[in-house]
Amino acid sequence: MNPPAIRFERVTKVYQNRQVALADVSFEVPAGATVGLLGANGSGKSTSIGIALGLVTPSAGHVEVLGQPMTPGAKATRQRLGFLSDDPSFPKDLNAIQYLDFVGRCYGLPRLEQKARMGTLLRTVGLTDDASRRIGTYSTGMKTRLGVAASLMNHPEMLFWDEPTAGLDPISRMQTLDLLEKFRGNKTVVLSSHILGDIDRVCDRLIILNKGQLLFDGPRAELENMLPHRVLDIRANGSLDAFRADIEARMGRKIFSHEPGRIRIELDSTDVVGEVTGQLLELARAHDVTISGINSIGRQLEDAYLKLITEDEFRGFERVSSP
Amino acid sequence: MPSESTFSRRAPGNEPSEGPDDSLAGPVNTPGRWRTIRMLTGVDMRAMLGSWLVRGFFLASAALSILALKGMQAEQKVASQMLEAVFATYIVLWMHAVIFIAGSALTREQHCLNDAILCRGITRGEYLFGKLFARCLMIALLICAVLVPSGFWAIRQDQLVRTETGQLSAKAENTKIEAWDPKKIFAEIDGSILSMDKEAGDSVQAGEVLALIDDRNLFDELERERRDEQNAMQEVENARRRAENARRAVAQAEEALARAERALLAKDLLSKLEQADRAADLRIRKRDLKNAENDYRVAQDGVGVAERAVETAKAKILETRKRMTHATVTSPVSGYLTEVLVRPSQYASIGTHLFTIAPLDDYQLRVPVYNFNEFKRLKVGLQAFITVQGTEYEGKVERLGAMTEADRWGRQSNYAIVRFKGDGTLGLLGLMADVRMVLPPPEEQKPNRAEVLLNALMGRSEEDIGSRTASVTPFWMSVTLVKVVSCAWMMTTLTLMLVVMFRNSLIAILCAIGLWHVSNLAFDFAGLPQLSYLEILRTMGRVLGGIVSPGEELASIAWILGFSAVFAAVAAILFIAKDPPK
Repeated sequence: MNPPAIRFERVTKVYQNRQVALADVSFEVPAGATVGLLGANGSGKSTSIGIALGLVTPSAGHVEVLGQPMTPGAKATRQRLGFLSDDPSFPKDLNAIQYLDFVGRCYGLPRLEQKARMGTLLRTVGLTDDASRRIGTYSTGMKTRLGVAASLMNHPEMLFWDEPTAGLDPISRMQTLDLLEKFRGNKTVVLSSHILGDIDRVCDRLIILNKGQLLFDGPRAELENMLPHRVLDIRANGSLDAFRADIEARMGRKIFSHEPGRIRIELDSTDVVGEVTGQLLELARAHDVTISGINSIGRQLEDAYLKLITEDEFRGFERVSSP
Repeated sequence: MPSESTFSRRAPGNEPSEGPDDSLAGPVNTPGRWRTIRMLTGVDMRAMLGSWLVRGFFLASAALSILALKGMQAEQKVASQMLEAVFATYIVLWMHAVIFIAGSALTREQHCLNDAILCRGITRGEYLFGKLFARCLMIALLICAVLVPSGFWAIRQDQLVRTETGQLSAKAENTKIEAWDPKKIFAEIDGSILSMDKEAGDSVQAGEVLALIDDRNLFDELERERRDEQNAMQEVENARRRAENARRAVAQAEEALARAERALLAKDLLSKLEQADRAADLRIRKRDLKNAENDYRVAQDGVGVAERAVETAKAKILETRKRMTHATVTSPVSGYLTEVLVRPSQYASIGTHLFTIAPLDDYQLRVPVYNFNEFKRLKVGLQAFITVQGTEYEGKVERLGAMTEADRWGRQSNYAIVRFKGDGTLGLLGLMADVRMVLPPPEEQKPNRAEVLLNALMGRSEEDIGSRTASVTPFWMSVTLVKVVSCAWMMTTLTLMLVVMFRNSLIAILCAIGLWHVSNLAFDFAGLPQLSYLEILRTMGRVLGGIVSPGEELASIAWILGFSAVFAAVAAILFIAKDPPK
């Protein structure tokens, strides 16, 4: 059996005794998997990637990447990785060719191969025409594309892409996702994104973090199976707090979205949508709530993610005892 | 290879081209530690060359150094004073720029440290040592690029003008080399030039024949004078014979007079007539004797006249013979024929100017001195240095022309005649030379209050200032330069350490500047006063003059470099231990 591409074993990171970025996180990423790393801002995604790359030293725990312990000095292991930051920064005075040349030299690529590789990647990310411009004049999307090229310069065995589609126009975004799909099975890819649609499209495995804790680690299908058969998405106006409480008390339904003006309730496979809708309308009349729309929708990753996060928000001290 | 760019604009729905990793796949060779450090050093040095902070530092320091050196050259400072001023400026003023350059090492790229650099298979240690090497190397290059040429220039100036008491002075360029005291050759006999094979410009040796003058008239004259001598000698013989005859006539007259006197002794026995006859005879004899004596004297005078005539004749012969030697005109000295004023077969009378010869090894320069204050200090016998196309000769001021003359541009100037020996070098005459005369130092002006205060602060005494008249050698200039560069390295590593420590360049730079100035006290307390920059400044004149112990100086440099190494090590440890900024 192949060793996992990434193995986090009870990893904790505390920044300067002020901020807990990761708290006792353990997970494994199988080789060749395309993993989506999900979580809100500050949930520890970037820290996890930094630790996996050896840029950040964990305060506790053990990390292995490609079968080797990852430390700041693990030069040889890092040579096999590619990284795209969520906010890629570049030396502004260089142009794309100079920057990729520098990256190639960092990786020790032979001169001729480096030039050929640079040309291919610039053409691949559509920066050939702008290659001689200073990076400081690039738009956000162009910088992201340059970062993509730089992350592929060394034929990496594993890619860490943090928000690769941020700032890209729809067509570039689609092309980036196409590229990721091509890597499926050939490279291990860790994709961090807030755009759940992107994750849904390319990832076959998910890791969800919330406030430094691991909420989920497993195949995407497993997360989706945690969802109810269907969901009723209700849009309503009025005093919703009492209405929500009555739904849970009288109808025994679990509400997993607390967005303003929106209520989501689970439906079992045995529920009849028409009956449930009728009960809801009666309750709404009783609470003087105006329902502007009711939609019945199937399983979605977004719902599963929201469900997990919402449940975690209400767990409180249960976290301490949870495995 | 993809036929179309993956990210290029294409209609949605088209199949994307193949990914970049499907082509050109190959193994990546992990570069070694030193290769990576070398690469990072090169990248950082190129980045620094494009930085206006570095360019500004170089241009400003170079411009100020040049201005300072030229100013001090005009004030006739010696090399140690020039170099002390320039080196001290680097320690007092430009060290702040060094701190800024070191402080900016991480500032500009701290935000892209992870994204662009450390995630590319480069360790933190390699990164920091790349930075350290690049900054230290660049700063050393920037300093040496100005101070090494400045040092050798100052030493060169010093070598040109230094004497025990003198200083640089009047300088003249493109002065024509002339012959010192050219010899004019005149004809000393009359006659036609029989032969002459020299042209103007030819070099001649002392005693070499220049021309032959026709001397046949002199032979005739000599013959005549020899005959005159013979005649005069014959006349001497005749005169001597006449004198002998006269002497004998005197003797006969004396004898006759004696007989006449004896005859008159018995006058009582003679008659009065006989007495009268004998008395008359006596008077006649006396008169004859007197006449004979006169003739004798005349004859003797004739002998003298004849002998003088002989002497005169002999003198004339000698004179003629001597003149005959002048028929062969030879060169009295070795040198060049600068003028040839006669041609073969031309008649030359006595006193005709035939040739002018410039002595081979004795030259003069007429040096205009435009500055009257400098001219006042000029004296006969002062040392001068003459540079002819890179070759230097030493000479002396031989004469001073105290009457102003206008040059070809109409500038009025006094002048000095500088005489020098050419060491047997051919071809100097007529060349243009640069001349520097060494003047006695001007009267020392009393230092103003600011200078007195500065000297007191720096701990310099009059003896220290006086000691700086010692010559600067390249070795001691190098020692001082290494000291300055070592200080710069110490500040570079200290600043980098503070940048890593505080992760804020401004704070690090301010701290480094503060520590730099406070270090004067700190080193004093630590028992290493020789490392404080005030002490370095105070002793710089002595170091440049080479009147300090080499061992102590090398120990100081070793201490400074040791501190630099410690700062670098601490910076590296902190950088490796601390996570880079998030």
